[in-house]
Formats: sequence, structure tokens, C-alpha cells
Amino acid sequence: MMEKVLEVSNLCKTYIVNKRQNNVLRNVNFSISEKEMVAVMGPSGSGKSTLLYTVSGMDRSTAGQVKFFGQNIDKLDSKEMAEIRLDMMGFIFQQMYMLKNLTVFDNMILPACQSKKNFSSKQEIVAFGQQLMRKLGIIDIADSDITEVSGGQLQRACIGRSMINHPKMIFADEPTGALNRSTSDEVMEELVKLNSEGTTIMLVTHDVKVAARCTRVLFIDDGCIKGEKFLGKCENVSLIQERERALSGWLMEMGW
Amino acid sequence: MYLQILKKDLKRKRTMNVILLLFIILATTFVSSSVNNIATVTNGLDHFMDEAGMSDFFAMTLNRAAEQDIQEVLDSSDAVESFGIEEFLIKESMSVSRQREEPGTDATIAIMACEDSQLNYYDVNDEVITSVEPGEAYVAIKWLEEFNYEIGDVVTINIGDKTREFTIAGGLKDVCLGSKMMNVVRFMVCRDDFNYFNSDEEIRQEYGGKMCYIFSGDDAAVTNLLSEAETGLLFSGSKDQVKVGYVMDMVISGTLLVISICLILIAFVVLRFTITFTLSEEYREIGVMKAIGIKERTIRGLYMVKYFALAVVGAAVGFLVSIPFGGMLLETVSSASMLGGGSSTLINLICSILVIVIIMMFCFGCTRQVQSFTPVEAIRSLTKGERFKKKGFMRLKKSSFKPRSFLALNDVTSSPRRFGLIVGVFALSLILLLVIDSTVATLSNSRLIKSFGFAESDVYMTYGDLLNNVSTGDGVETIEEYLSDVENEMAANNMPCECYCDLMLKLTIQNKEGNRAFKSVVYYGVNTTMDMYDYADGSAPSNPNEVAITPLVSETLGVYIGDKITIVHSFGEEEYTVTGYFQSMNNLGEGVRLHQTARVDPSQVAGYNAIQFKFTDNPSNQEIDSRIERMKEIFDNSKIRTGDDYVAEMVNVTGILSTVSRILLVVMVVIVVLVTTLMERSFSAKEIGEIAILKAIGFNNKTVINWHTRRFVIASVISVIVALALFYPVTIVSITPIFKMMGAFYGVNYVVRPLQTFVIYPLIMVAVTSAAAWGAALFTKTITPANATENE
Ligand SMILES: Nc1ncnc2c1ncn2[C@@H]1O[C@H](COP(=O)(O)OP(=O)(O)OP(=O)(O)O)[C@@H](O)[C@H]1O
Ligand SMILES: [Mg+2]
Repeated sequence: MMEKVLEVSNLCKTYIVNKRQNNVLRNVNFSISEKEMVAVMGPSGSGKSTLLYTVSGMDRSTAGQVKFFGQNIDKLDSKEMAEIRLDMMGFIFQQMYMLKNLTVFDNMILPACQSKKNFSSKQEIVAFGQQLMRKLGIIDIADSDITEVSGGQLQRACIGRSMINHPKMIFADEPTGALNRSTSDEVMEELVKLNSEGTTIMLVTHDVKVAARCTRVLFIDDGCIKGEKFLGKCENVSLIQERERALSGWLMEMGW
Repeated sequence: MYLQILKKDLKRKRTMNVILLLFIILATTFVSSSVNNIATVTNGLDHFMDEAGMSDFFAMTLNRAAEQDIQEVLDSSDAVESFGIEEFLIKESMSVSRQREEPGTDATIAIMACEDSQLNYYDVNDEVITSVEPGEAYVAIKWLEEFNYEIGDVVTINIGDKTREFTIAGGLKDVCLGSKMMNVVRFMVCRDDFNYFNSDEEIRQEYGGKMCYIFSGDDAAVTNLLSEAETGLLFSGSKDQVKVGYVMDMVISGTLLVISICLILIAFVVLRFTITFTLSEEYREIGVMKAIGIKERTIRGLYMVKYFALAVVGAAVGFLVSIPFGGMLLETVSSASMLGGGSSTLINLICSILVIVIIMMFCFGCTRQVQSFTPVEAIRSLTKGERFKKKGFMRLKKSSFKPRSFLALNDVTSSPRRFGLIVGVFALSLILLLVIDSTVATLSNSRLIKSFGFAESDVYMTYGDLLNNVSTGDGVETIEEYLSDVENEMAANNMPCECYCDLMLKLTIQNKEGNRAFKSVVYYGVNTTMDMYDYADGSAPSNPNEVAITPLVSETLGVYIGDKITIVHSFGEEEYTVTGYFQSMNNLGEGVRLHQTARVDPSQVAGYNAIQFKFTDNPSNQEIDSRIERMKEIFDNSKIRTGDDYVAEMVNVTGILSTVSRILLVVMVVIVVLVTTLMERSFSAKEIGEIAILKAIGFNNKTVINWHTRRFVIASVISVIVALALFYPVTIVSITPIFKMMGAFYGVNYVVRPLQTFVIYPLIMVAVTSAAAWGAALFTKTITPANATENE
């Protein structure tokens, strides 16, 4: 039995806007084991992003429990939470949020410079950063301004940033949402590779092709998990189309 | 629709708008109150002169030095249209004791009878004083204030062997002798009380004198007339020279004006910044408005309405605040001895309206940008960020700073204009403070005594009877004897020292041709040597036939180094060779320095500086202070003080300037807090996305706040460096002309107080900036990592 990375029980999230309650998440229960790659799908406004932010400790839940490696992260204060995000988690967003005043490379190594846990010296950080960039195929743009590079390159840099501290788990909210098909494929390639190297991943997506490469898919609607589908490890690239077809069929059943 | 949008804007950007409003209020307050102050002091002075009936020329003579009666001299002259004379009794350092615990003072007091008044003298309520009750006295306000006298205090006046007590009935406003630069205090009593002293022939001869108010169209002729006659002239001057006596009041008001001009500049710079900043934030909104076809004029009008509303509210509040604030400033800063006249709320109102107009003009210019961009540009510019901005030269991978410091430094170097503005504003306010502080330090430093043309010493004692000893004695030897007695007494008390004293004579000096002449102060040192004085040019006189002169004398007589001048002594005319120039801030720069072996007639001595003590055993400052206490007992004289105190007393404006520097410190703190808060809040409003992403990737609140605080600390440290580099040259450029007006033609050596200048004020600056930036950065706590995906 694999170790549980994330255990979510009875998670609720309620926003109050103009004195009206909006129960975005209602009693969500699920768990993610080590080395899994879980996709979250669902209609727009169903609460996917909210779910991702709440389970990753970026936002506070209204009720329920989130355990990360057995630790109840709801009980942590903002400082301890920041530390966990820094050292154990990685984040990739739909829009490529980076600091305008830094180069692509500096943006990428920023978490490592802040943490100091994984590296003993600046040289080590720089060396690892360069290695990552080479791996992601963006070493050419290392010293560029973030406004001078393409969306795909930037998104790969974001993946690099999420990996810089050797996280236990990566959370991604529509990482390919702003990319075209071929760049989207390239980015997914990187994530699958990362997953096969042992990093647990949870990602939100609208894209069946993206979801088909994951090991499991959760379907969320109206704040509840309506179903889940095990796909297993995608070891054989030729099987992808078959997985896609199976997933599409299941999604139809779920009312996608 | 306008109102709707305005209301929303005011709500949404509350902090920014509130700070902007505060700036407008502050600017208006300072502008109107200090313009009003200037108007009051300049206009007020003319007004005061006219109301009081000040004459074109003023002369003061002493009976004991007079061979001719000034009345006869004036009567016989064609140049004099009319004149009035007040008789008075004067005594240098007359001792005035009062019936309270504090020690009495020994200012130079001129007693006169109310019935003799040639000018209008006013009480504190600006009513002309027409009579004084027997046993009562009205005394110059500057004196009452300086020595904390109150109405009802009883003072004892001792002249010769006559004594009488007077109850102070009130303050007296005196246009002629009222300025702080005039060292004579008018003491007005009734005729009977005056005659009690004046009827004594001996007293009248020794202490009596005449104040003459001369009306004449020809100042030069009067000057010549007075210099030729032997009337025992103590002081003479035209109306303009009397006005110059108020120079310090002007200087202080001027300082306030400079402060307020700086404040206006700061207010406008910040305003400009805010407008461009908010505009760029609303590019997309503007773009959408343009895209759906709203006219440029309408969009522009929208912003104009907003800033107009802010400007009107700010200026209105500022106007209301400026009235009491201006009054307060005028009270602390300007002389209460002036007639209140020029001040009017109309000036405040005009200034407030002017501030609104300037803000609107400015806003109009700024909003021109709206015209220049197309909807597409506007929409795109937001998504692309600040497109044309080039990032700084710093690289995290090469830097050894921690991220929070690196990010802060990188922000500063990436936005040089933005932070340059902050540095400029901070540096400016610090420079102002440092300039005033070093001016205060200079004006209360013993070294300045040299710029008065005197020698420096450790301790200064003013002693009332000295002058009588000289003038009644047989010669300068009397003083020499007295000084050596003092030296012996000091030595006997284990305080070995040298004693010396500078005498001042008022003598006619002429150029060689004899076609230019005037009465000037002539300095003669007892027990001093020529090397104890400063010379700006040439060399010290080396024999009794040589003199040094001030540039003013050189200019007036047209004599230069190597030329000869003639001094008219009671024993005859003597010719001297000019060997050098020196400067003196006495009598606005006039003066001749005689060699210590030159011959003078002691009966012509009109005054002396102080008895000076130079210790020969190099005591520490504390030791000097404790010696002063002992000396006070030994000589039974309370008027013994250090060089610093003596200079401060002579200059007489140090107290006011210290007040100004305290006001400036408060102004600096207020500016720093406001600018920091405004800037930090507006920056972080734009950086919500970045802050959120940093939090998402694991930066905690503390790091973020630290990063934001550090940017301002860096800016303030740079501003401190800039200010420290610039304040000294700025001081020289801005303050030297004032010293020149006072007679220091060659400028003075400025004193910098190292502790205040290099430690305290910079620390205050950095500490206040840190605190304000930290406080404002706390706002970033409310940004959560989840904000990262929200649009800005
Ligand atoms: N900060 C917030 N305050 C109030 N309501 C919010 C907030 N964030 C999200 N919501 C609401 O929560 C619901 C779910 O939003 P969420 O962003 O999780 O949807 P989503 O499934 O990610 O949609 P999409 O696929 O469009 O990204 C929406 O109805 C939204 O209005
Ligand atoms: Mg979403």
C-alpha cells in the first residue's frame, strides 16, 4: 500500500458575497497516494480551483479536514503553512505569474533562495536551476525579461520553479489552459516525466487529452465529487487514444 | 453618472485619496500661512513705521561724549526739515532687579518720559500709550519676553545714587528700537519719575542722552552733518537701516516661505505621481470607455471632477487650518513687538484658491495622456504590463543577498524614477533640516565671535561699572589695572587666565582727501594682540600707525590696503595706513581696528564688548562650566557665560531658529510618513498579483512585509547619503547672503553638530521611514495566495 500524501475529509468551503452564502465545496472526500497523478475535471464554476487552493493550504477551508503527509494543515498558522508550501509543494497556475522585475531564471530559482533547505550554496542552486532549464528546453531564455518570451516557454519556467525545491507534491491549475495544442503536449510531457520520477501531482484541467495522461480522474460538479475513474499508469504511448476514448465516454455518463 | 463613478472611485481607492487629500491640506496650510507671514512682516513693518510716525533719520547721542548740543547742530542745518528730541537716561548693563526669585537682568535700558514721546508707542492692544501713572513703567516687549517679566512685577532702577521702584504696567511696541538687533530697551515712565533722576546734573551728564528723530530728504547730508559735529553720537541710521534691524524676522519668515515652497513642490510631485499612477491603473477601464464610444472629453472630465473635488475639500480644510496655524507661527517666529496690521484672511483665501488652480492645471496636463492612446493600446498595455520598462541590472543568481533584500534592492534599481522621487523628497526635507540646524549651531558657537571682529575666549563677563571706570579715569591704564586685578584674583582661585577686553569708540573717519567721512565704530583691544583677530585679506596692523578696516568702510571711504585713512580723536586727527580687511557683524559691518599700542581717548569710549577670560591651563568644558559658577560668586555677577552662550545672546535669534528647526523636524517626519504610506500603498495595490504568487510559492507574511519595508529603507538611506553630501554646500549658498547682510562679507565658518547631523537626524529619518513603510506594508497580509489567479 502506497503512503497517503493527501487525505481530504468532509471539506466545505463557503464564500459569503453580499450577505449571500455560496457553498462552493460541500463535504468533499478523497485522498491521493504517493506517485499518483490526479486530474480534477468538471464544469466551469463547479469549484475545481477552489478545491485545489483549499487542499493545498493556499486558502482556508470553512469546515472539514485536510491532511498532508498525515499532518493536519488546517491547524497550521500562516507562517507554518508558508513553510510547507515552500519546501514540500510546487504550484503551477494557468496564467504565468512571475515577478516583472526579475529575469526568467531568477524567477525560477527564487523559492530555492528563500528556502535554503535543499541547497547549501548559491552555486548549487544556480547549477540545479540550469540543469532544470536544460531539461525543460528553455536554457536559451534564462536571462530574458519575462515579457520577452512566449507563453509556452514561460509556463515551462513555471514548472521549473515549482520543481526547484524538490517538492513532494505539485498542484497545477489548468497548466495548459493558455497554451496551444503542441505546447500543451510538451508541457504535459514534462509533468508526466516528473510524475514518473516520483512526484505526486494534482491538476485541474478542462482538456480530455491532458486528463487522459493521468492515473486517476475526479469529476466534480456543484461542489461535490460526483465520480472517479482509475486509468492507471500510462506506460505505453500508443494506448493514449484508447484511454482518451474511455475517459470521454465516462465523462459523457457524468454529464460533462 | 459622474457622481456615481466618483463615489465608487473614492471608496475603492480610499487610502490613496485620503493621503492625497492630506497632502493638499498640508500644502495649502503651509502656503497660505507663510505667504501671509511674509506679507505681515514686510507690509506690517512699513505699516508700523507709518503709524508710529518714524522719521527719515534717527540719531542717539550721549551727553558725556558730547561737546556740542545736537539740538543746536540740527537747528543750524539747512538739510534738516524738522526734528524731534526725546531725552533719555541710559546705562550700559544697568542692573534691574525684580521682586521675584529669578536673578535680575542688566540689559541696556533707556529711560524716557512718556510726555516727551516723539513717536507713537503702542501697548499690547495696539493702542497708543498717551500717559503713564507715577510709579509705573511700560517696557519694550522683547525684553519682557526674553526675561519673563510680567505685568505687575516690580523692578528697581538704580542710577548714580538714586533709586526708584517701578511696577511694570505693560509691554511697549517701539518701531525704532523694538527690533531684536537693537540692543537698547525702552523704558517709559512719567515725567515726574523721569525728572527724579534727570534733574540731577551729575546723572544727566553721565547717563543722559538724546534721541533725535530727523526729517530730511537728504540722508547723506544728515550723515555728514552728524559726523562732523561732536555731539557724542552713539548710534545713527536712516529709516532703511532701522528696517534692517528687523532682518532676522524677515529671515525667519523667509525660511518658512522656503519650507512651504518645498512643501508645495513635494505636494505637487506626489500629486503628479498619484495621478499618473491611478491613470495607468485604469488604462483598461479607460480603454473600455473609449471602445464603447465615450468621448475623450467626458473621460477626462471624470478625472478632473475627482481631483477638483479633492482639491476643493483639501484647500478648504487647509484654509481653515492655516488661520490659527499662521497665527501660531507668527507668534513663535515673528516679533510680538510689531504692530499687527498686514495680516488678513484674504491672503489665505487667495493662496488656497491658487493651490486649487495649480492642482487643476497640473491634473489637466496629466490627463492629456488619455487623449493619446487608442482603446487597443489601453487594453493591451495592461495585459502586457509596463511594456517599456526595462528591468534593473541586478541578478539574483549572482547576488549574495537574501531574497527579501534582493527583491527590495532590485525594485529600487528597476524603477529608478519612482524611487528617485522618494529619495528626492526625503533628501530635500532632510537638507532643509540640516541647513537650519547648522545655522543654529553656527549662531550659537563661540567661533562666531571672530566674525564680529572680536577675539575668542573661554568665558565672557559683562560688567556694568567698567565703562564708568574708564571714562572717569585717566586713561586706558585704568582698565589694564582692573584687568590685572581680575587676573590676580582668578589666579588666587586656581583659575589661571588672561583677561582682555575690546573697547568700542564712535569716531569720525575720513579718507586721505577728506572728501568722504562718516562716524564709525573703532575697535581698540586692551591686553589683546593683533594675532587674536581674524583678517580676511592683507595683514594685521603691526604698529600704532596701522589699522585694519571692514569692507564696508573700504567701500564707503574708497580706501584700500596700502591707502591712508584719518581718524578724528578728541586730541586731534591721526593718520593710519590700512594693512588689512576684517569683517564684523556689529553695526551691519562697519568698523576700524586699531593697533594695541595706538593712542585713544578713554572718554570717547562708547561701549565695550565683554571682559574676556582665556584660561591658560586648557580646562575641559565641564571644568569651564564649574569655573563659571565659581566666578559668579567671586565677582558677584550673574552675567558670566561661555562663548557659545555669549554668541547666542549677541545674535539673539538662536531661540527662534531652534523653534524653526523643531518645526522642520516635525514637517520632515510628517512628509516622510505621508509619502511612504502613500507610495507603499499605491505600489502594493499594483503588486497584488506578485505578492500573491510569492505567498503561493511559500513566502510568509513576514518576508513580504520585510521586502516592502526594505525598499523604503534603501530609499531613505540613499536620501540620507544625498542629504549629507549636499547640505553643506546648500547651507553656504543659502545662508551666506544673510550673514553678508549682517556684515560678514567674507562669510562665516559654519559649524556642523556631528551628533545631530550624522547620527540623530539620519536615524530619525530611517527609523520613521521603516516604521511608516512597515505599517503600510501590513496591508499585504490581507493578500492571500489565492489572489494569484485574480486579475489585478
Ligand atoms: N474569492 C471568491 N469569493 C466569492 N466567491 C468565489 C470566490 N472564488 C470563487 N468563488 C465562487 O466559487 C465558485 C467556484 O469557483 P472556482 O473558481 O472554483 O470554479 P472553477 O471550477 O475553477 O471554474 P473554472 O473552470 O471556470 O475555472 C464560483 O461560483 C465562484 O463564483
Ligand atoms: Mg478555475
